[in-house]
Amino acid sequence: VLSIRNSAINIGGLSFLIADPNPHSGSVIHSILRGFGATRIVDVRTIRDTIQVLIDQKIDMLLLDPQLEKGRGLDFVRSIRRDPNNPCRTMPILIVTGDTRTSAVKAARDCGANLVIAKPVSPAALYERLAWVAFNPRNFAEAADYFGPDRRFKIEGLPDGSGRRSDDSAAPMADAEGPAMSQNEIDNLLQEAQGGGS
Amino acid sequence: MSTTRDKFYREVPVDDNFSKKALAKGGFTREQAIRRAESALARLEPDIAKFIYSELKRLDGALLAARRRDAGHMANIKDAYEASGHIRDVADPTIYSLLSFITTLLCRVIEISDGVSMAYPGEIIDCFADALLLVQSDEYRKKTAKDLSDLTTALEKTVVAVEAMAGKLQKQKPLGHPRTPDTPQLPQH
Repeated sequence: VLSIRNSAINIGGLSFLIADPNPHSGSVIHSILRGFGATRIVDVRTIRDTIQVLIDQKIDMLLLDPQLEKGRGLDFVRSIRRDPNNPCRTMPILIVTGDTRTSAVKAARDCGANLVIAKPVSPAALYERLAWVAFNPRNFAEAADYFGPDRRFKIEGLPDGSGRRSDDSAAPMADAEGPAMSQNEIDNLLQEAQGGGS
Repeated sequence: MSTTRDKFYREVPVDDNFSKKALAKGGFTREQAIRRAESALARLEPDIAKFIYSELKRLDGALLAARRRDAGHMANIKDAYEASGHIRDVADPTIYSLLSFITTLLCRVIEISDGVSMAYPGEIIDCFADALLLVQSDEYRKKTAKDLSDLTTALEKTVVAVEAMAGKLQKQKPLGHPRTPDTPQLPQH
């Protein structure tokens, strides 16, 4: 298992597109990415500009606020993922949101985004998500109502029943319900995915 | 290669350009990267502070107008939500402890109400308006959320109350039902 905490990531050669309707919130993310060494960062405020940049430039990662154009951000992500002819279809997408209710995080996940990060974005949280995407490349899954990173994780040792992969032992994939999730709780979801919360 | 398991599902291998580039030699370790990002954010802080101040003025104004419960009530709440969301989204909780806390919960109250098309709980939103005015006063300006645990606990309880109202309403009507005209009564604590 690669240790994210002890390894460096090199984002100097990567291009980032920040789609955030709030320029100040966008500038926070922009500054953090600059601090991490990124030099190619584009900021946009509308879906139209986002599409234009994706057409004109090679973007390696999209960071998008669902509030883009009155809450149409997630629909836009879904449209990217569902279009088989879209060259950005499998591009890593981070949803950056202030709305951390469980239902909102679930909606962000279900639109096909790679990860969700809560606002206000902290350098540590953003670094960990970039490292997670870098160290854990995943195949995509295509289903009737979903196209996005494969969210199933191989699980071993569970005693009851078989999992959804042929080599899984079980598939405990119940959706959590309840109040809003804190950044720590979102992080815990990540840790569980990384291997049993270690 | 794609692995077809049934007609509704298949795995699609991805050419992972991001991963390849990010794992190339060079770059920064976590600690280095975070330190550099914090320096970059420190340079941005005066602009952020100015923005938070202007959104706070807007939020105070919208909440004050919302107290009137007139025809513009919903528009005032929407305006308050936007300003509160702007503050929530940029206010570092370590610097703006109370502001971050209050605006996060205020947004949540409005989001919960919107989620079930419930009338905005005016009395609760007034509590948030009062809390915001309080934490801007000279006496409280430098206090943190930890210093004012009575206030923060009370505000958290109001969110629990709104969640309970929303839950009750959701059981009574199907989703998508038009917003109820009457403000629900606060439960007694």
